[in-house]
Amino acid sequence: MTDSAQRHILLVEDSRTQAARAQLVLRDAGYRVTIARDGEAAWQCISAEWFDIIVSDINMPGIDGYELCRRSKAEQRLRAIPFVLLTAQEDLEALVRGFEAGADDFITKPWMPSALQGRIAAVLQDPDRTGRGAKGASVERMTRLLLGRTVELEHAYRELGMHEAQLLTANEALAGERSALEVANKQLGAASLAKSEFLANMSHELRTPLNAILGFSDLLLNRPDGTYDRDSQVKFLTYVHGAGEHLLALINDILDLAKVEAGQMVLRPGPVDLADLIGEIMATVAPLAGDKGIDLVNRATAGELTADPGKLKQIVYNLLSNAIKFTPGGGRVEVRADWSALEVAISFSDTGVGMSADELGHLFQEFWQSERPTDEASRGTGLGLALTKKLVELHGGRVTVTSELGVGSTFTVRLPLRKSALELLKHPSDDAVGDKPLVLVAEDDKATATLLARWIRSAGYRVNLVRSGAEVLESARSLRPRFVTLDVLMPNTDGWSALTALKQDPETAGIPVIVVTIVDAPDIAAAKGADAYILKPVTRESILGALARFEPPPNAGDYQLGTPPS
Amino acid sequence: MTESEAPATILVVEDNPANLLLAEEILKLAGYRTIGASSAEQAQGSIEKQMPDLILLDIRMPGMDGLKFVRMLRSSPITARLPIIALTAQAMADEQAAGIAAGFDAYLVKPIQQALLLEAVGRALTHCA
Repeated sequence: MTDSAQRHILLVEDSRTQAARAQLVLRDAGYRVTIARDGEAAWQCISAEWFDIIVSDINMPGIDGYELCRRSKAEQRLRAIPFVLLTAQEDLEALVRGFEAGADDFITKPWMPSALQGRIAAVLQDPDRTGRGAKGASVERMTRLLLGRTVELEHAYRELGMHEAQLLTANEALAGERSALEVANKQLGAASLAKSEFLANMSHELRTPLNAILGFSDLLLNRPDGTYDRDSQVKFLTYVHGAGEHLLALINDILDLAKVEAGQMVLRPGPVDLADLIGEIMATVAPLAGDKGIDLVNRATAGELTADPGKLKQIVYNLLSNAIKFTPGGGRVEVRADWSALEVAISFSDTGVGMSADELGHLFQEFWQSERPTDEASRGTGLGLALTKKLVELHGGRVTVTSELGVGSTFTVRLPLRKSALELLKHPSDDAVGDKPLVLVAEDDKATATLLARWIRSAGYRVNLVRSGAEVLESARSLRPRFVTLDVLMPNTDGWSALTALKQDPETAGIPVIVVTIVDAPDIAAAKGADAYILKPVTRESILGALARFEPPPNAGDYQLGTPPS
Repeated sequence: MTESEAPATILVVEDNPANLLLAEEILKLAGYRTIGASSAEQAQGSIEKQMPDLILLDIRMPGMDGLKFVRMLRSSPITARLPIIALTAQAMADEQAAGIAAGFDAYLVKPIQQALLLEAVGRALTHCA
């Protein structure tokens, strides 16, 4: 650079601040700088004056940097002026487009003053002013950029591959979840459909007897005296009565079913002499069979099993009365019991009307009724078999049927003989006598009793369980427990009277009684002399906390109390 | 229809004996003649012997149910326009829609409301006469 030939730079930049900054930097380096604010102004400058170099921004209103470059390179006179474009870092597209427009070099924005000065000096000192060298440098830079971009792209591609694999896995997981949701949805749909069907059936089954009850009573009440003679009146009332009984049976069956469904049907297992039980039910249904001239045969061999006697009676009654209902007069109904090491199979065989395969499929469905009862009057609720099946299953057993149209049917109930399953449902056994202090737990709900016993034992006590108010009094007198926990809703004597009796008897009055109940009536409990009161559901903390208020637990180290109850 | 000369004959089809007697009783007290049938099959035999002026038909019955029976009656030119009223314990809206679609002229739900039953019977007899 010589003084006499101060190099003249045309700086094309629409941003005033950028332009001012570049002007300062370039003047510092000894250049003369003319600024054009846009492509139009720049073109006028170029046409009017000679510049040693043009440095131009790309994005400008009107004629942009590429266009300005293209125009200046298209004129013979201007071709030789090096044209430098200001591009954004790594803007490959700008490089390519600028190169196409004929740019000699590129300066990336944002620039450092030294970079701007250096680049311009390099371009100006290039011996070949047509820009070959600069172009060569640009190509090299572009190649470098492209290579870098290729590496980046390969990297990105690999990452995409990995993402794709992850997406595939996620997609599979989603598909799995989706099908699980679909299954659940289908099940919900089926459950909802079953519920609607149940409601529709129940409505039908309730309306049928109500029709007779309301209709006949209406006729008898609202017709003038003398409309019906006594025989008609008796006939109407007999129908009303029958419909009422049918309704009652229906309601009982529905409640039983609902109890099983809700898991509230509790078995009270005990030893059962099966042949005795079958004989008892046979005596009950004998008149039904007798009326139709059906031969009832008991071939059950003696044996004992553990079952809830009441529920087992219901099972046997339902199947026996069913067999009689579907057996024509003069037929035969036979009950057998076949014992094996694991189970007893109780079978009920009849010479009745039998069932088709289709009917067998609906047999245990709620409200489904066979169309072939041998007498209309004995039409049932349609719930008997559904309930029977549930009661058998509650005992861990199952019901099977074989049938042939016109020949007869055999229902077989298989009940397990292993006692363990049923014994789990029994009251946890009382602790043997020992030196630990005794707590008498009066509770008829097995689950609650089991939990109470476990928690109280963990605090170092012995536990004895009783199930009724009467037993509480007796046990409290004979065992003299340290504490009594008392459920106030129990069979026989109710808990409140048991509490009163305990507190009135001088022998037991001093034993602290903790009322454990779902009845929210602490004032009654206190009035009757309860020493503490816990509302169910009971927790380990609440029961042990209550005991701890009277004495430190025998092994306090074994458990941690939460916040002591106030 | 010769209302002034002879009472209309109504065929009541109902499998429950109490409810059959009740419906017949109500209709008789209103001056109609009734024929009872305890199944669709029995009703068919009755129609062949004597064409009723109207049929009061239960839906849920052993054997052929009321829906099937009404469809069958509608497909025969002889009974296509015969007034047929459903009297059923099936009270759900979709059940009622199915009944009307099957061809019942009216759909009554048990327990019977006597006034409604007689009104429906009267209307069906006049309209289809």
